[in-house]
Amino acid sequence: MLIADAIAAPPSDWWAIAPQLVLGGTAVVIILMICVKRVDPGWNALVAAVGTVASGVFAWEQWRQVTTDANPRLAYSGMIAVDGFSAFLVLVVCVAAFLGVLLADQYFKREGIDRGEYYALLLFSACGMQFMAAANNLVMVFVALELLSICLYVLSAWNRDDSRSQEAGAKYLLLGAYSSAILLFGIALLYGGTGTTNLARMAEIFSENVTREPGLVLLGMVFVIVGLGFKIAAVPFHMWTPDVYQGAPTPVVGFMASGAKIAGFAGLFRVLETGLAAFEFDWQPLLVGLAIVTMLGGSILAIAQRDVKRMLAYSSIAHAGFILTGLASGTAAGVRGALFYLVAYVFMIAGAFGVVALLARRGERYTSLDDYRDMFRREPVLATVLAFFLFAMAGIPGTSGFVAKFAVFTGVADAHQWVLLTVGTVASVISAYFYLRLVVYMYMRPEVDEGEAQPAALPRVRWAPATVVALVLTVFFTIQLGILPQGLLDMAGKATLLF
Amino acid sequence: MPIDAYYRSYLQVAAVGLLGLGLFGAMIGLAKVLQPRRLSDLKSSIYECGVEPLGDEWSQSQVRYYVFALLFVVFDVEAIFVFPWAVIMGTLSWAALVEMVIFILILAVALLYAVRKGVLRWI
Amino acid sequence: MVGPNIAFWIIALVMAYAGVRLVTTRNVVHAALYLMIVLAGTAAIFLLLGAEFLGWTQVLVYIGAIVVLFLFGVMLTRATYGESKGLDNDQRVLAATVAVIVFLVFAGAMWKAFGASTEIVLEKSTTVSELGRDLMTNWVLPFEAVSLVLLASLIGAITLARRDDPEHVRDRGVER
Repeated sequence: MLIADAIAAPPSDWWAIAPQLVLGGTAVVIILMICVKRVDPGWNALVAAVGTVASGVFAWEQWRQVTTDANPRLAYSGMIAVDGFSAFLVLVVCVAAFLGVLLADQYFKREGIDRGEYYALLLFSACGMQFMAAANNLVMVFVALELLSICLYVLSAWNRDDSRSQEAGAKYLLLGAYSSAILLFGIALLYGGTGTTNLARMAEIFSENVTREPGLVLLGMVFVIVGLGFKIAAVPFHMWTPDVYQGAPTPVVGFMASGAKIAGFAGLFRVLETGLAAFEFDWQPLLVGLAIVTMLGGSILAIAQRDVKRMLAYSSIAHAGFILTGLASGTAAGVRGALFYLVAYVFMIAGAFGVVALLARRGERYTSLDDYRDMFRREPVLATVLAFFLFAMAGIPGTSGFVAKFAVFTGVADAHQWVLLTVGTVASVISAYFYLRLVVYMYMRPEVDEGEAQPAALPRVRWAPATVVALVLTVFFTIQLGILPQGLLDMAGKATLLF
Repeated sequence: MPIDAYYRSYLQVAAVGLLGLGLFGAMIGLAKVLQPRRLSDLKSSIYECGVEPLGDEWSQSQVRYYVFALLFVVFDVEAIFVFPWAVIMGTLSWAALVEMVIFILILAVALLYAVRKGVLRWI
Repeated sequence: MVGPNIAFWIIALVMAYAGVRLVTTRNVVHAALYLMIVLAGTAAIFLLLGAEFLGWTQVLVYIGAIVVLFLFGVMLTRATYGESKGLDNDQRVLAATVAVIVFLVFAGAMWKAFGASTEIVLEKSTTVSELGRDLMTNWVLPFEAVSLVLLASLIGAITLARRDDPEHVRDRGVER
C-alpha cells in the first residue's frame, strides 16, 4: 500500500463542535454513572446542569470569536457552519436544556418516576438541537432532527404508568415519524434537483443559474417547509401539539416547547436563507400564509380550552406564528426580531410550564381552568409569577414579550407587509384575551357558581431549590429583556444570516 | 466496476435464484400432482402433541423479546457501518481508526447499559 | 440497455402490487410480509442503480431486522391474530384521493425533470471502498452523530420497556 494512497481524514476541528461534544459527552457520562452505581438521580441532574453550563460557555466563546474576528466558517466538509447564527442558537439551546434540567428534578421526585436516564436523554436531545442549529448540510439536518425527536418521543412517554403520558408519546412518535418522512422526501427532491445536500453549495449552484430542475427544487422546498412545520407546530401541522403537551409530563413539555421549536426554526431559517435564498419569492408567500393561519389559529383555538396545559399549547402555536412572521418578512430586522422572540419565548414558556407543574400537584390532577380559581389567595407567590408570565406572553410593555412582538413587527413594517402586520396585531389582541382570562380566574374569581363543588383544600406547594433557581432565572430574564433589550437585540442582529 | 460487467455479474445471481425457485416449484407441484387427497375432519384438525389444543392461537409475547430485537437492530446497523470501513482500513490514516473507535465505544456504552439493566439476563 | 429496463418494470409492478396489498389487507401479519416484498423490491432497485452496498444493506437491515421488529411489535399487542375489527376510521376515499394527488404531483415533477433526458447517467457501480472513503472523510460528523442516535434510542427503549427494575419496584412498594 502506497503512502500516497492513504487518505488524510479532514483535520479534526474540535472547536467547531465543542458545545455539542460537551453535551453528548455529558450524556454518555450520565449513562456510565448509572451503569457503575445507582445513586440518587439528583446527582445525575447536577452533572447534567454542569454539562449544559459548560456547553454554554463553549458556545459563548464561539460566539465571541465569530462576532469579533468575523470569520464565519464551515467545518467537517461543510457539514456544519460556525457562524453567528449557529453560535447564537446553540447558546439558546443550552439555556433551554439548563431550565429543563432544573425544573425536572422536583417534579419527577414528586411523581415517583425519577430516573437518571431522563437527564441523559434530555442532553442527547439538546445535542441534536445544537447540531440542528449548526447544520449546513441536509443530511446533518436530518440526523440532528432524528436525534432530538427520538429522545423527545421517549421523554413524552416518561410517565409510563399514566395513560395520558403513553398517549402523548404514541401520538408524538407517529406524527413525528410521519413528518420526518415528509422532510426526507423534501431532502431527496432537493438533492435530485441540485445534486448536492450541502446548503452553501446549493446556493452557489443557484447563483450560477445552472439548475435544470426548478420544479423538483420547488417541490422539495414545500416538503421541507411542511416537515419542519410539524416540528415548530405551525397551523395546519399543529394537530399533535395540544394532545402531546397535555399528556406529557410538564417539565418535558417545557423543554419540548422551547427546544424543539428552536431546532425547527433553526433548520427552517438555515435551509431557506442559505440554501434556497434564490427562491425567496417562492417561499416568502408560503411563509406569510403559514404565519397568518398559525397566529390566528393558535390564538382563536386557545380561547376554547378549559385546560391550562392545552391552552398553553395553543399559545405556543400562536408564538410560533409570530416567530414565523419575522422570517416571512424577509428583512434582516424581521429575522432579528424572530431570533429575539425565540429567546424571550424560551424563558416565558419554560417558566410558565414550570409553575403549572408545581400547581398541578402529584399526579398532575389540577390543570383545568376551574382549579385555578382563587389561586392568588392559596398560592400567592406562584400565582403572581404565573400571572407575570401570562402578561409577558400577552405582550404587556415592560416584559420581554412586548419587545419581542415589537421587534418582529418592526421588520414586517420595514417590508411593507401590511396584511401580515394587521393580522399579527389582531392575533396579539385575541391572545391577550385568554391569557388575561386565566389571570382573572386566579385573582378575581373566589366565588363558585351554583351547583359546583367547592375547590378542595389542597396541600401547600413545596419548593425545591432547583425549581426556585429556574423560576428566578426565567422571571429575571423576562423582566431584563423587557427593560434593557438592546444587548440581546444587537446579538440577534449579528446572527441573522442576512447581511 | 463498469456497469456492463456489474449487470452481467448480477445476471448470474438472478439465474441461480430463478433456478432455485424453479426447483422448489417443481417439487411442490409434483407432490401436488402425485399425492392422494382424502380430507377428513380428524386429519385437518390441529395437532399439538396428541392433545386437544386449548385456547386461542394468539399469545401475547413479552416485551423482553422486543428489547432483544431492538438490540439486534442497533448492532446490525453498527456492523453495516463498520463494513465499508473495514474494507479499506489498510489505506486509511490513523484518524479513521480513531473515528471508528469512537463510534464503537459509544455503542459499547449502549451494550454496557443493557447488561447493567439486566436486559440480557434470562429469567 | 433493455435488460435493466425490463427488470425495473417487473420489480416496480411487484412493488406497486405489494404496496397496495400492504394497506388493504386486513391482517397485520400479512401486511408485515407485504412490507417485506416492498423492501426487497427497493433493494433490487438499489442494485439495479449500481448501489450494491446500499442494496444489501437494505436486505440486511430492513428485511433482516426492521421487519422482525415489526413482527415482534405485532406480537406484543393483545389484538387477535386474524382480522381486526373496530380499527377502521372509514376514510378510505379521502386517503385514496390524497395518495393519488401526491402520486400525480411527484410523477409530474419527475417526468418534467428527467422524462426527456435520454443520456445514460450510470457508467459504473459504486464500490464499498469508495463508500468507505467518503464515509470516513466527508461524512464523519453525521456518521458519529448516528452512533448517538442509536445509543439514545436503545436507552429510551430499555427505560420504557423494562418494567422490573428492582429498585423501582421497591420504591413503589413503600409508597403504597
